[in-house]
Amino acid sequence: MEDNTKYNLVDLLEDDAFIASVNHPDLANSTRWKSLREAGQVTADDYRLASWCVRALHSPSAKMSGDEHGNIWANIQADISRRRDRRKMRILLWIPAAVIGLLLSVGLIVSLERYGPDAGNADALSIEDVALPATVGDDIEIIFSSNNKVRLKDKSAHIQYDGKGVAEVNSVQMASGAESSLADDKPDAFNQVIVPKGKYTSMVFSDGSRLWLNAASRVVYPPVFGSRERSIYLEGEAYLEIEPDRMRPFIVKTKQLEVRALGTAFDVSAYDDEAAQTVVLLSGRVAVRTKGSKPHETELSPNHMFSLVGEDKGVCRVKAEDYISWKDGTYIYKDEKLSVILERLERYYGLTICYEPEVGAMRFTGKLHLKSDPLEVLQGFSNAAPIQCREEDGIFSLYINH
Amino acid sequence: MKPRDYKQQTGELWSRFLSGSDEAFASLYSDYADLLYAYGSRFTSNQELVKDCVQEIFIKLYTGRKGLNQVENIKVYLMQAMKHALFDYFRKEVDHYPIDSIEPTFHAEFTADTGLMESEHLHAQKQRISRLLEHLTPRQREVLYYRFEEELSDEEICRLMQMNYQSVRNLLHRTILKIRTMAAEAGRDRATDGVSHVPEAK
Repeated sequence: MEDNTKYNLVDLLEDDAFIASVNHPDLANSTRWKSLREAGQVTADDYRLASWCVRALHSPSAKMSGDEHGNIWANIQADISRRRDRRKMRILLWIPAAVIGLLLSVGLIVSLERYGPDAGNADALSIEDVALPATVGDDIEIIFSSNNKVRLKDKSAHIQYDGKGVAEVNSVQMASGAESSLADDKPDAFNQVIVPKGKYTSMVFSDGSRLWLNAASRVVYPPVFGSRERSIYLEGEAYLEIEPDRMRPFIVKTKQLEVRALGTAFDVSAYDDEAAQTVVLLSGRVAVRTKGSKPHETELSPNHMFSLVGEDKGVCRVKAEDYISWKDGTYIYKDEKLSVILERLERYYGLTICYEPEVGAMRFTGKLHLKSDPLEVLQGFSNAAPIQCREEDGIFSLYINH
Repeated sequence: MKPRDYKQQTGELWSRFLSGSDEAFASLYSDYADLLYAYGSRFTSNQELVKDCVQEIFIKLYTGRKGLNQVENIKVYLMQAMKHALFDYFRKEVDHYPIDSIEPTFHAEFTADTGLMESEHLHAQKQRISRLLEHLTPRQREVLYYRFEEELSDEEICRLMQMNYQSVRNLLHRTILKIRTMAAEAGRDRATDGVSHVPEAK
């Protein structure tokens, strides 16, 4: 085919075939352009400059790491399956709300005692340093400021903050820090909730994020989050559902970990008396950072658990629902030592359980319904294994049935 | 692979996805996630945001697949979705900033690296152009990216830039004329260097 068209620089840069030949050179197209050059239809200079322009405008592209690629895929899968189960999920989420509804009529005891000289001095105080009150009783305790504490005798409580940081406890409105009348009471102090053994609390923060606080746990948080991040401090175990906010990451700090989340649902377990500190992700994405001299950051995908035992870090695949079932009144175990299960039950019910080492070493798989009578729960074990359970003077004991 | 074969193959992939194949959905993700991330990153340095958008696009794709039609070019379709997602975010979430100052603009750094041995004067000329290219406006860079790197058609560029056909033609033509002017300027400088012969590269 005879083609006598002359190509200058502009013609070349506007020619699809030319651009394709630069980006994907092959024998056919390089022969064609070579013969055009030889025929004088394209000058060598224009050709080379045009090729260079096409290539030079290929700027380096941003790349995801393989992990990021995999994490997003895992999130997509999790989201899709969550949508499928949405009906089921909605019902699950309403269970705690229903429990709270039954407790509305219970009264509050507001005490005005002070617990520490510098408790209100939040300016200089970082969230990790907020002190535990000198005495911890058997009640759920909510500390709004040094002068404003609430104690609840109930088994569980629900605390809800509005966007301005005004709290309601079991639907009774509390004075906000700012409205506190006492002069030495700093309004920007952190609040804290202390849940003793055998009790349980759910709460909604000022940004709408939800937290379920397990027994023997404590959480410290500001009544209203700052504009750059949303930080809380946790001892013990909590399950969180974070309200998405791309501008303000949600950070859960524990003694050894820092968990950063955007919009996600996850469980953090950081009991002082348990060897392992764990973070289990249900959906979304979190980054877990270990504290200490050698900080280390891990990104977690849904249905994965990060665990820290001393200095040893690990990530493994788990069924996340099993780890957050406590908030709906069940514990799910898979090949778990009875000693670990009993430790959790002691904390959940606030009781003492005695058992022989052989009993503690037995392993169980299954689902425990945390009924109101702990004896009923413990007797469940005797159906599954040769174990007897007895209660004497409020102390439970388990022993092998010979 | 020739563009026609490629289009045919991607058309098939899309049809399988529309008819409910999860395996096709997984292929879509593995074929296009990186491209979408790279494309989105040209409008913002917020990597988390771009990753969120990639996630959102694929979730919407999956959950809305019953309402989707056959598309001509999956790549362009998904790039459009990425641009929408990003601009949506910038419009919605950052409403306390004046929109002009925050609207994402296209970024591309031009590299003078060609990887080829070349004569000194050509090298100097390219360096000059490469400096001048930095003076292109974001829209000029964007249109060149679609043309030179993604090899999109004018119609496809219209869709991505939400401009009519003639405006895209004009923008592209003016941008290329600008490059020629730069080249001519660089060439004039070269003439004074007294070099006239350019050895042919392989």
